[in-house]
Amino acid sequence: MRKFLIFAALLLPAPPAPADVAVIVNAKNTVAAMARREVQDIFLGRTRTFPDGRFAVAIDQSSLLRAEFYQTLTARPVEQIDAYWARLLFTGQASPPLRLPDDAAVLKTVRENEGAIGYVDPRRVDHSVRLLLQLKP
Amino acid sequence: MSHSKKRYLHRKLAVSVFWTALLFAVFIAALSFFAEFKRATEKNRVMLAQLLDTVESTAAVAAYSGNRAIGEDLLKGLLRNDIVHEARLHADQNLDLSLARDGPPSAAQTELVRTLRSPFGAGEAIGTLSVIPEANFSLQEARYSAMVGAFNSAAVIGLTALILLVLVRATLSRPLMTVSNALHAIKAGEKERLGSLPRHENDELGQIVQDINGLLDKVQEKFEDERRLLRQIQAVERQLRGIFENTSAGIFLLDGQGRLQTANPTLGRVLGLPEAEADALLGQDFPARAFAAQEPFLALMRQADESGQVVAADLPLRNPVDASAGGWVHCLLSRRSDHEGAACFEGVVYDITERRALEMRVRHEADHDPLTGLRRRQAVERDLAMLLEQQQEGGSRHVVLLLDLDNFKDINDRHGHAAGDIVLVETAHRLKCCVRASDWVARLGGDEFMVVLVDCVPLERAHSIARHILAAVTLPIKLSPEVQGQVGVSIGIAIHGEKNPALDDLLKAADQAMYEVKRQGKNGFALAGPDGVFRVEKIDPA
Repeated sequence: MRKFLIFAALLLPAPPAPADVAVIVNAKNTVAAMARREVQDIFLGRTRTFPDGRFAVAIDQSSLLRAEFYQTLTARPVEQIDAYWARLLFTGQASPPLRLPDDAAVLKTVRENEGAIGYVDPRRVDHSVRLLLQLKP
Repeated sequence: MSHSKKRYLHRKLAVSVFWTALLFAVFIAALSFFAEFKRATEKNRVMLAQLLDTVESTAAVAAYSGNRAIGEDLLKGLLRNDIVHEARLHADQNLDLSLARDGPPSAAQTELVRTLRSPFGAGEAIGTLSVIPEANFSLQEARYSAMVGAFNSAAVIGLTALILLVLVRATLSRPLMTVSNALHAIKAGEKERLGSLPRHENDELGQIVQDINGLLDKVQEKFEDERRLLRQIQAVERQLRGIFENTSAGIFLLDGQGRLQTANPTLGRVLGLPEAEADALLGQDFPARAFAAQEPFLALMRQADESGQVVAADLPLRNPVDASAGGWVHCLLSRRSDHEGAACFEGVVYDITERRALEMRVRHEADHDPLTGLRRRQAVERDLAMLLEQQQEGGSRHVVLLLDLDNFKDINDRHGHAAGDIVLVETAHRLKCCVRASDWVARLGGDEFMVVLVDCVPLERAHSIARHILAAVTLPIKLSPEVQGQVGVSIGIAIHGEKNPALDDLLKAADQAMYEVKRQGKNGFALAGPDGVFRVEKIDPA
């Protein structure tokens, strides 16, 4: 069913063609590679550490890329992600990741914080950060 | 049967219906209890599943994020439902929550487990949400339902029974009681009949009343037929009894041993028994009481038994009515089998005393000479033959004396037949005087006589008797007051014995002896000696 929905969504006349999203970490980060699910757990607050045990801070952003990112990562529309966070917020025991305005702010923050993890347009990735995972739709 | 003890039909019916209803209600209650219990349990599971459906996404969020607050909130929410006894939320790594209701753990209840899947991504399993149903709830539901079912069925059945009771009492029991009481009062064979029941003329009860009346008619008919038949039978019986009692013949029934079983009143009269003795005759030995000698009757019984036919005999009675005349009966006897198969004898006796007397007189006349009253030749020869026959084995000797008068023809010619008759009568008288009463004197014809000395012992006595006879017969006979006559006599003697075994031999021997006397000059007697020579002894004419 779920596959069918995805398939249907692909067929729909979506305005921009879905593009890749690049997940980046600080250049000093030693984590070799991460699975899509591990990335998802960090961004949705399920875990607060990298697989090697070091503290992880997820960096979100408010651009159009956000919908792209969550759709590609969790196969859910971004509204559902917002609803999820709204529910957790209500308990006062959890908060969503810090949300920055655009790719540039994200790149800057990742460069400066060792435990940060964020996502940007793949074309904006440079050597100052480390490309951890390229998400393809 | 007293009125209070009667068990009314409608009450019996009511009691049966009551018990049946009770049984039925219990059955229905049990059935509905189990059905409802099953249904409630099933319903619980469905409701629980729906509950789980409702909270599943929230539970998944809680499990995914490891959020304790959401989890506890969720479990509390579940426990608010009566059908949930315990709820548990378990996330793989970071959460394990459980909440239960107060009260005993419901043992037999199966836990309902729902696997929680991640709300994101491919939906891998991240934990479980499980609930245990509240057992008491199903039980209460089932109890309530069973009670309602039982009450409903009891009410319906009870109402039905009540209506049935009233209806049966009104339409069946009361009319039946009316019929029953009326029937009780009617005697079989009388003219009374059952009245018809109002409102029941055309139903089964009406039919029963009609049928009973029909039966009563038939019974009355039969009764009357039977009475008529009984009167006829009684009349016939009276006639037969009259014949049996008033017949001039004595009728009797004997058992195999000759004891009297039944007799008609005439029997005693015919047998010449006094009335008292006749009554006491039943069960007694009949031949011994009735007849002068038992043996002929016993022989008759044997004969009847062997031949199987009716046998008859004339028998002398033991107690004749007139002792001087003697009593005789003619007896018919036949053998029969009684109802048990044993032999018995039925017989008829009737009085033949007069006929017998007549017969005896005729026979006496035939056997005796009317002039002298002596036996005739054929009678004496017949009797002598019988005597000799009986004699065969015995040792006693009989002696025959053959007598022939001499000069009788002269007296007849000279003085007439009347004088001859006087001579014959006087001679007969003198002969009788010379012998014992048991000896025989016979007139063989004309002037020939015979004397038989029965059991003459010793034989020499025959000589003395012969001498005596000779002396007596040759005495003068008074023929008229003035005239006297005298005859002589020749006597031939023969002794019955080895030499003369048969009657003919005996008579021939006597005859020869007599002629020997005549040849030697009459007036004497002769006897053949052992050598065959006749010894003649004579007396001189006086």
